[in-house]
Amino acid sequence: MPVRVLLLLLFFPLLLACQSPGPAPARYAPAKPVDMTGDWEVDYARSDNIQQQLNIIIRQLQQEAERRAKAAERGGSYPSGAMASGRDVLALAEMAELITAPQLLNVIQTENEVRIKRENSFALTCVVDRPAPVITQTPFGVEQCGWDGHQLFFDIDLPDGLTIRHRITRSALADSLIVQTAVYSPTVKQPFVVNRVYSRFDPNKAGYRCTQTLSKGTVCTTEKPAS
Amino acid sequence: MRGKAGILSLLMVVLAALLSAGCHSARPASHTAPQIADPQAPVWPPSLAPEKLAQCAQPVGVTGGLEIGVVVFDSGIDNPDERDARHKLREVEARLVAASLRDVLTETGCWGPSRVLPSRSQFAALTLSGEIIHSDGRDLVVGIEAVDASGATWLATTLHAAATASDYQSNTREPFETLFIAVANQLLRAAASRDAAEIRRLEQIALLRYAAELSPEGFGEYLEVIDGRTKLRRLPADNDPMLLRIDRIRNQEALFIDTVDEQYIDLRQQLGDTYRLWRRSSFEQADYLDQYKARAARRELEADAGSFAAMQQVYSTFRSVRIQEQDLFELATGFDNETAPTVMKSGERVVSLSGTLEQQYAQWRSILGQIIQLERGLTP
Repeated sequence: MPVRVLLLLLFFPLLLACQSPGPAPARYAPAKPVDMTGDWEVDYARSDNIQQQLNIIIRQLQQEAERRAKAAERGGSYPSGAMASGRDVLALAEMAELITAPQLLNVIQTENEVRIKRENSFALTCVVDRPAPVITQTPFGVEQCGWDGHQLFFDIDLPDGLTIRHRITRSALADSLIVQTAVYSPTVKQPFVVNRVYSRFDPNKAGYRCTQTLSKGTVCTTEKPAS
Repeated sequence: MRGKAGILSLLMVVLAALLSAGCHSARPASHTAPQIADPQAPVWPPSLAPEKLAQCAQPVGVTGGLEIGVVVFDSGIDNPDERDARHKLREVEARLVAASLRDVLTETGCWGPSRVLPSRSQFAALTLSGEIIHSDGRDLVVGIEAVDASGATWLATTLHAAATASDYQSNTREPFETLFIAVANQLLRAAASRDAAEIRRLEQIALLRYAAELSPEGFGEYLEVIDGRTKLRRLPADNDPMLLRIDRIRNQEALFIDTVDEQYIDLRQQLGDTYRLWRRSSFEQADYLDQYKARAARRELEADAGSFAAMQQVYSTFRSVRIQEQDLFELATGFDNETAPTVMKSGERVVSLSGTLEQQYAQWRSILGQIIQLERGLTP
């Protein structure tokens, strides 16, 4: 068989296989917007504990390392698809902790836009008057957002292969918001996923209210807001 | 035969390597590698070298100096979306850049009153307009044009200033002052190359063009356009009552522009600190992206990919830009919402103007047009 034909036979499937990296692009359910307006505070009792998740992963890593060592002792080989190093998983967990740190959310929602202000972080904003995903190209990467059925999603692809995916769901009773955050890094096969549950609260009932200022950071006052 | 087998086995190795490297992924379904926008496209001119601001002991051309109008810059964004923070900030920047240029022109002492105009008009003898081509806190690229009342172009150029980290160490220094100084100096050189009589005529042409814009029937006849240049056909008498009215109305417009100018000063006072923080974080972002690309070119990324330090640097830089961007966006939106109605008095008539400054300016000009028509005995 001529080499040219062989080349074609070999590379055609390769081209087919590599045209899209990973599964087909996500498809979104028709938007069924849910009102998430209001103030929300994290409920740690109902949220994931990152340390616990990390301990589980570290135990899995240790077990896998032991299995490898045993396999090596027996002179056998261990199946490929190795898990990431402990260092990389730990790094991913630390990133997830950093990204999911905000304790308070303030959601402002209209028919056209949803703005989720997060304490000590940037707001997640999405223009929702068009079908998902709404894609924004920035100098830093690509951001996508929109309604996927009754869930609001924000996907942020940053340099160095860091990807953050937030998926926000409101409970049927409208008293909780569940923010699922998946953090991806290029060296760990699976994302590190953190679920944070936020409960509705009235900031005025706390007896004090805080605002973010440029010069002094968070400033709290017991004064009642002017009505 | 052996050669073909060798090629085949090599191909198999390459194929296997490509398949394992390129096709194995547990990435999110729609994930694509971040596309780093190339800030160098299209090509900009080289960044300006610092130069000293040329100043004058007395204004050039005419007594009191040639009046300059600096039109609020074009944001350079097609179909801007008010809800998009980046679009909104570029619009704010377009006003702030015009105000900074006006300040530098005033500082030279070479010109008459320099005013920021909310939109293009025939008001000034020399009008500067520009477009922001690129702005990221590190590089500011603007297209700028200076056209006089006769339609002659004094300046049409693209300028690029680059800021350094040290430019952000001071809280008061304008990081891109090199650009504003360059415009002022180039304008002065353009004036020096012109005939003094020609410059003096500009004031008269400006007044009559302004009059003709408000009342084409009354003043169109004094001017003629030849080869795209407006020339004086004849002058009205010095005591022409209509011209005196026009002059009075023009003074009122100057008063309006000065009132509006106060709002640009307010804008800078209210947004100045946040604008500076935003520009500094944008500078850091641009710097980070350059370093990132350099590391990618040297194939150094893989060494620390996935490390906490690498990811934290990416995220912190991104977060910082976003926070400053959103702070500035909120302030800018608030400023627009709070833009005070301007109360102007024209003769016995008191007029309250509302809306954005651009809208107020349009309302005011329309009222002036009506006044002229009334005074000429025509139905407005």
